[in-house]
Amino acid sequence: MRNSKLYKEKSQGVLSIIAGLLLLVGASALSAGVSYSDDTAAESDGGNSTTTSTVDSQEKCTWYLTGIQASISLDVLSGGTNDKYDGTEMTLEKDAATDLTVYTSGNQGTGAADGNTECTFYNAKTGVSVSNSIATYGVTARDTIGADDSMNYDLSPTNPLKVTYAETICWSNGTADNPTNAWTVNESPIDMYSALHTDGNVMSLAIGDTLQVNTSSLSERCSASSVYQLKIPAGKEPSRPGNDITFTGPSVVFDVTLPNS
Amino acid sequence: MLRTRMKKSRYVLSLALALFIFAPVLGYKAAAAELGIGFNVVPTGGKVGDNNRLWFALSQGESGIRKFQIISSSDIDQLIQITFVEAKTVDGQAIAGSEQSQISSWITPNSNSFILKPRQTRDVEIITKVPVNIEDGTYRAYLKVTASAARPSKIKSNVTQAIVNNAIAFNREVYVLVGNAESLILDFEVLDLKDFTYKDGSKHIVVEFKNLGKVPLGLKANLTLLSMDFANLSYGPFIAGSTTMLEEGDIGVADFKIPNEVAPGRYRILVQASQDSVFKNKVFEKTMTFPELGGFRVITFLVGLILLVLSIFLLRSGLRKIDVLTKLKFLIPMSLQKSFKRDDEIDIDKFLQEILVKNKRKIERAEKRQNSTKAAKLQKKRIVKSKKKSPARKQVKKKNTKIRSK
Repeated sequence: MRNSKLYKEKSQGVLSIIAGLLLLVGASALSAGVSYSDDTAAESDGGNSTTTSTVDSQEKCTWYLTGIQASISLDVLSGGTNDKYDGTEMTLEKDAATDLTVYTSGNQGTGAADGNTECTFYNAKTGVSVSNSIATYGVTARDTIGADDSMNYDLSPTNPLKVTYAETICWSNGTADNPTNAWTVNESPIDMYSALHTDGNVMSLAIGDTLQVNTSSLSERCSASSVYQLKIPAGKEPSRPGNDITFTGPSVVFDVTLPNS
Repeated sequence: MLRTRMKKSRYVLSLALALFIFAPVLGYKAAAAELGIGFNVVPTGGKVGDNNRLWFALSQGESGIRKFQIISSSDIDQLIQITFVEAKTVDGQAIAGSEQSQISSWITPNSNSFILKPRQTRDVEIITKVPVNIEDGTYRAYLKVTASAARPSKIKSNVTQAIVNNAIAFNREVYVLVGNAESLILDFEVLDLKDFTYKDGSKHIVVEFKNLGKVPLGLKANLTLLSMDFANLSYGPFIAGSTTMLEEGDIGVADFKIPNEVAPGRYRILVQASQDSVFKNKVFEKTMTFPELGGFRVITFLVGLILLVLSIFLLRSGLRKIDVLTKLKFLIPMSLQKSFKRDDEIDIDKFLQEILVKNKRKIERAEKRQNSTKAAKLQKKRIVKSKKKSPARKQVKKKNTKIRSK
């Protein structure tokens, strides 16, 4: 009985502390709602003065795409079942040496992805999206002597050129130290086999997420590493067996689309 | 001396060799011929032409000029090619197709193929001339600026390999509105303030616009808040990014992000919007509440207040009759009420009396126990004493046992 009484008294104390704290929280929240800041904007005065003055203007933010290797050589997959084509399927693969990077920087072209030049969009918000496409779908073969048409083949849904991306570092309206990230990076493999195939979205930043309308010090940036993979189909026979064969696939286009702001 | 130098150079050489061998393991990526460009539309005036857009509004036979920049961010020569491809709509989104656009013959760049040197910026002009026999209407295409390596890379021929060539293409929509002065009316209306919301950690005001003209809109808008509760208190102007493109009859919105210190209350809200030479102003008088945040504050305050009142009530009731739980019965589930019933109607006098009676009984029991233990101890002592007084008996007993063992 006595214990129960003591317990009750203790609970009352704890309850009152909690209640007091909650009241503080509530009161502070309410007071925040009725506090006013004196953040009045200064209107510019358009007078009739004939005085002239010179002002420097901020560079305009420009979207850049960089880090795309002009040409990439895919090697026989190490640890694969075969290191020479023997009539069975053969995989060729390569990690791109540089990361694909989209970023904003000034229009004078002096900046870089990891050190952008300060700029502004001059009130015109824009987003950006990068996607992959190919214009043709044929893979042509050539050995040390010349073209080997018997080894040519076409990409198909079951045997596409596969590119897989992995986000390296992305931020929007921020810096590397404060990376608020609103980017979307597609890390699923992108299969390319047809010019009509349009599902090749790599990365994007929506217009609404480009917050850098009138600020100059912050930038938008997104980098991703990439792995290319191509499979030489089974059932082919080279016309000059014993020679090394170089396959040349279709050009991969990195389409940067700037939506209307 | 010579030996030490040789030793040093050996160390340097082996270090360089080790770095060369282990560079890939250490994550170093070899420098490769990289492509890289930036793209920028140069702002110019015009009926629908504005910053960042390649829009033209032209009559039949008329021509217009726009300019854009291509900026190299690469260290190699790049081949730039300029084409105009069809604009396709896939899932409601306009995208660049691969086929040549029907209006590509109207648009002529001053250069459609050239080499862009490393870190060079090149301005390109496009002249759009609408043919005389073309019908009034809107015509769309995509400007495609493609960059690829100016020279092919060297290929090793003594290995089995596959070569994939890459290219960059910047795509920008070109919009040509063809018609006479009557069909090129630029007009719009600021309709209403749609929302005062709190999202993503900040306050937003959404303003609705309607395109009343024939020309597509990409409005620039700003908003200023003047408090009606406090004189001389104003916020802004706040600038929204341009609205998305609004075609004839379309209704669209501009989202204004405003600082969190803007408090709920009555405001006179001035909205200004413009495109080219057409400006529209509209003043609204509204009470802004920002519901999500406001609701949370009120709830927090009420909960705090209720709990404080409850705690004061509990403390004041102190040692007197505690019937709080009876009063708050409606808050307690029926199943729990039975268990509370025992405790919630305690009379303190009765409680103290019970304790006194219990204590009295305890004391009585303790005394009884004490008395009985004392008596037992006394009896033990008496027995011990009596044993000590008769040692002859012990000796006789011992003798008897000795005889038996023999």
